[in-house]
Parts: sequence; C-alpha cells; structure tokens
Amino acid sequence: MKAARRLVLEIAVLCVIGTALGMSVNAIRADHNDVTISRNYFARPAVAPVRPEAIPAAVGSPDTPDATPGPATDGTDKPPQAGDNYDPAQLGVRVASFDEARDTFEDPSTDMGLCLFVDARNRDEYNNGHIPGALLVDHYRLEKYLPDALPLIKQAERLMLYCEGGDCEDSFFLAQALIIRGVDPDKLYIFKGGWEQWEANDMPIEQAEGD
Amino acid sequence: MERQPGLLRRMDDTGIPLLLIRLVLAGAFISMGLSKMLDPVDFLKLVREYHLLPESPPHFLNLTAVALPALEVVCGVALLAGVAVRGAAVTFLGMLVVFTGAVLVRSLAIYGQGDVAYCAIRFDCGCGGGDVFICTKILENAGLILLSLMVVMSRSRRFCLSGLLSRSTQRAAFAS
Repeated sequence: MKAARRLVLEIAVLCVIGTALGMSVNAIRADHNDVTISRNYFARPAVAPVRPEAIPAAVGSPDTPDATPGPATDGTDKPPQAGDNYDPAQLGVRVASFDEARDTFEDPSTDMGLCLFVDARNRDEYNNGHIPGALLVDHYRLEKYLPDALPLIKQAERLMLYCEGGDCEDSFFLAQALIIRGVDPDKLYIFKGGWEQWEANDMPIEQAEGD
Repeated sequence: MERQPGLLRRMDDTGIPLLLIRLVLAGAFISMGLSKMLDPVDFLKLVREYHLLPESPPHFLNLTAVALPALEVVCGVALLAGVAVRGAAVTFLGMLVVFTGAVLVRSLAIYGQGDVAYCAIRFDCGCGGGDVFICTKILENAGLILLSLMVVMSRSRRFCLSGLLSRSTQRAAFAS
C-alpha cells in the first residue's frame, strides 16, 4: 500500500513538473512558435455556410478583370466526398484544379500582383520549395505573417491558397482566417492538389532561405 | 536452508541491466520529447489527427501538445538520474500503451482503405522521428514497453541517485 501510494505520488510529481516545464517553455518561446492554449486552431467555419449553388459559376465578376483566366467551379458544385476533411463550399470558397492553378500562374496578372498564390504551409516547407512568387502565410502563426501579408492580400483580385495537398486542411483554415479578417470569399480559391500536385507536374518551383 | 536467488534476480541486483535499460529509455524519450518541443505547432497538428481529444474547447488538445513532450523529457531525465525511477517507468508505460494503440488504430484505418500492404504503411505518427514505417514503429514501441516493464519490476536501485541518497541517510542515521 505504501509502495503504491509512493508510485502515485511520483507519477503526480512528474506530471506536474512536466506540465510546468512545457508551459514555461511555451511562454518564453520566441518568434511566434508557441501554441496559444485558448486558441482553436481547427475551428470550423464561423461564417454562414454558403450552399454550392450560391457560388458564382465562373470568375469574371465585376471586380475581376476579364483578361484574367479564372478557375471554374470545379469541385464546388459537387457535394463533399466521403473522406473529405473539410468543405470549402462551407466558406463560399471555390476549389481550383491543377489546370486552373497553372493557368492562373501563367497569366500575366499574376506577375502584376493581381493574382496571388498564398502558401499556407510552414516556413521549412516553404523554404524547401514553393510556387514561384507565392506569399507565405502559415495559418498557425498568423500574428507573424499577416501584418505584412494582409495589405497585399487585400489588394489582389484573386488568391490561390494551397498547402501540401492530399488531405491537408491548412489552406481551408487560412481561407477562414482571411474571411474573418474581411477578405472577400469571392476572391479566394483553394488549389486542393496543392504542393504535391504542383511538384508532381514538374512545374517551376522557387526556394527560399531564412525566417 | 536459505533459498538461492535466481540468475535473473542476481543479475538485477548488480544494477547493471537496470542502468543500461534506463540509459536506453531515457535516451529515446529525451530525444523524442525534445524534437517535439522544437515544433509544438507541428506536434499539435499530429496529435489532432488521432481524434483522441476534443477540438472544442481547444484547451485539452493545445495543453497536450505543450505538456506531453516536456513530460517525456522530465521522465527521461528522472530515469537518467535515477530519481522516481518506478514512477517514470510507469508513466512511460502508460504513454507507450496509449500511443501504440492510437498508432495501431490509425494504421488499420489506412490499411482498410486498401492499395497498400500493412508494413508498407508509412506516416508521421507524431512520435518525434518524422515519417516511419508502421511495422518498425510497433516493434520499436513493443521493445520500449518491454524495457519499461523491466524497470517497473526491477528491485535494484544501484547507480540511482535516490538509492545513493537513501543509503547515505541510513549511514548517517546509523552513525548517530
């Protein structure tokens, strides 16, 4: 009985010290690399869901120049597939196919900053390779990236968000964060194939260094 | 007639097997814990993928991502130093059983989707070493569980700070 009590005490003390250490390290962590305990990083849409039929059928809306080839509604007019972890239509955001992402990339308006690729992955992944000209906005470190990125994002007429591809949800969460901050959902596209599909198709890539 | 202790007991009494096991376990857990502590956000995303904790309210999930790696490091250091050895080993055991169960469930779900042989399944389990093949990970965890059990069952406290302290306390009490 005494041994069992001692064992429980040991475990409790280790748990308390471990938690205290974890919280202390998290509190003093620099460069927005901490976890905010009260923040829900995976919140589901806080905006009113938009039914797929309410999404414009094509780009070419009044604030989008006709010269810009825009993604069609690929994917958005389909119901969410089994196994889909998220549904961009909930946000009123359109899904772009690889062809649409490539067309946007090759369009001259992208060079002019009217169309902007936004990389929702982390710094290491971005540095290893990203779509040329893409802006890094790590959804988990918004405080670090948004002050510089938000003015550019608000100026752009089309935003192509992407993350790793496959089941990654970071571009979905980033789209939600941008909408909450006043970005028009009509400007937002999620390139669902993401980095994996871009790289697999031997498209141009760019690497970066530093923080 | 007094019964001779068995070979395993005599080996355990030397304290050397326990010392070696403590070094292996401490090394494994300290390195895994530190690598997770370096990028807590990445670990948070990986923990979430197991769907073991509610996403809302976010406190459980976030606190787990912050505290669990530090707990691994603390238990590893305790084991290395030889303080609260049994408590650290039982904590490891608990973590390993939960992690292994979670990894198994997730790998079986991937296997259930077809297309890939079970041992060819590879993913980042959030264990601190990046992508791993599932069979390798399960074998590794089984080994660590066995080592943790051996620490729990060991009677020896040689080469442990707690053993040294209790012996010097006893000596002081005896001398006075």
